[in-house]
Amino acid sequence: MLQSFLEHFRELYRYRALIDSLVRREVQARYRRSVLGYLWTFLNPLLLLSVYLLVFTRFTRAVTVENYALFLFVGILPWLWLSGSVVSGTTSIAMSGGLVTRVCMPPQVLPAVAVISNLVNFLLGLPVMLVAAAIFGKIPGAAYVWLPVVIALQTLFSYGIALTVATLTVRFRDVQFLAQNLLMVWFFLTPIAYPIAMVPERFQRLLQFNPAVAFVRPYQQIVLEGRPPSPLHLTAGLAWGILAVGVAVWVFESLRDSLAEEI
Amino acid sequence: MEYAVRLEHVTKRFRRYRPVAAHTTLKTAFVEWANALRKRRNTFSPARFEVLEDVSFAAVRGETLGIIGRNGAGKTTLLKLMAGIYRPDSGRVTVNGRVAALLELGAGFHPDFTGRENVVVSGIVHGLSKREVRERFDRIVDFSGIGEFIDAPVRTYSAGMYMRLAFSVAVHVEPEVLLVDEILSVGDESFQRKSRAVMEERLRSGRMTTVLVSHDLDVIQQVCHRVVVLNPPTATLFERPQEAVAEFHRMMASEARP
Repeated sequence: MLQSFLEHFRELYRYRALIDSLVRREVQARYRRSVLGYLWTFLNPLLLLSVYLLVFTRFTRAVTVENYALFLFVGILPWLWLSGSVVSGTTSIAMSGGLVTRVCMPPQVLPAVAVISNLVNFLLGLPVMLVAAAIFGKIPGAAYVWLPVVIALQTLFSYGIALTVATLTVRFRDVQFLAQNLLMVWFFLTPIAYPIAMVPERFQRLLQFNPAVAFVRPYQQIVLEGRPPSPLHLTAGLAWGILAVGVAVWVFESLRDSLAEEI
Repeated sequence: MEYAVRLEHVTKRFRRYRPVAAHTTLKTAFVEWANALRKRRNTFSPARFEVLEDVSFAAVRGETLGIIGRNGAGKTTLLKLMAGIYRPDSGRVTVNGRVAALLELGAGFHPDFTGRENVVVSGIVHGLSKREVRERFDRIVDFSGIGEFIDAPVRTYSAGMYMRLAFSVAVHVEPEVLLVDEILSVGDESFQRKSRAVMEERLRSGRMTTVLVSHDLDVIQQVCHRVVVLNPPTATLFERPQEAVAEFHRMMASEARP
């Protein structure tokens, strides 16, 4: 079991040149035939941000939090990475355009590419977020050294989810549509558009079982609250990451032999 | 004798797809999936059928091995097993050296990217390192005859240009084992002559082992040293191509009889 687990990642490492060139292509391909190009990376969250701003502070006044725009931005950026990984992960193997059926390569390369290219987009947005935070008076402090740790944990978790949905989508295309719907629910169950403090006590405890909380909250703590992420979130993040990858590798390796035939 | 590709008692089964009605409820799908997980791949299940059963043969280093059989006999399946795309349900497939499979050209090409960008990714997909692609780049473009269009997106290419570029990448991978599926007829006459010349040069060099699937029995007799005749689910290796072709004709004739 551990053996096949290690081999799984050894294969990814052996194919790093392929991952590298596919990620480059993925990042470039997204906006290749658009006029605004990379600007879309920022326009997407910006658009989303404006709508929430309008609905939750002007239409309804449902959310009371200082610098709501910044608060949203800090939460949405990692969320877009997570949800983007799931969305592009679902079809990554099933619609690989012959890469799995005609070339011998480990299929797990493809969900890895989905996660890493979304990570690149996240990293492109990160400086913008930090500048925005500085403008709002949140000057970068010592807590920022935790960012790489949080990012690493989220990479692990995202890969687990992406690999699972990518594998299952090959057999059941339903997973792809299910994922889209669940992501919507997941978004609202994660304190991104509202601060977790506004949630009633008993629901707050339930929310801790939402893995996304363990990945989104640390950014808010680091950037907005200027303190290191709480050990609870870090531990939970690590646990979720290991669990997700464990399940993913198991599902993937048990269905792997039939993947090329089923596509 | 040194083997380049070796199949030992290889059995390959495929899933038999039943009418949609038998599969519609999520419950049956889930139950079957759970069963499949539990049973793994080595157990027999009536929902599967043998494409190849207990097939053993080997290609010797440097030779050109032909594979013939009627449509749907499992020729491509055999190549995919050798390429490692499929895994056998039982038995063993061993390959010595770098394999390149020309199963379908242009695997991994992205329409919005230029020929130049696609050559790089496609080369890496076929197992070259970045440096190896750089070293071969000019030769690849030269051979393809794409010229200045190498910097245009491949979606603007004609079907012929697309195939020529893809084929050019594939032959320049210079694998130790080349698996070819019926693609010697890419492009116009002059390009075909050029590709045949380069293939023949490779074959003669004796460094490359080639497994060639073709319906063109003339080509098979001309270039192959030995030939495997597929008669599902079994395969027979003939030391002389003429014998294989004769056997194939006998097989077809007996099947054609009412």
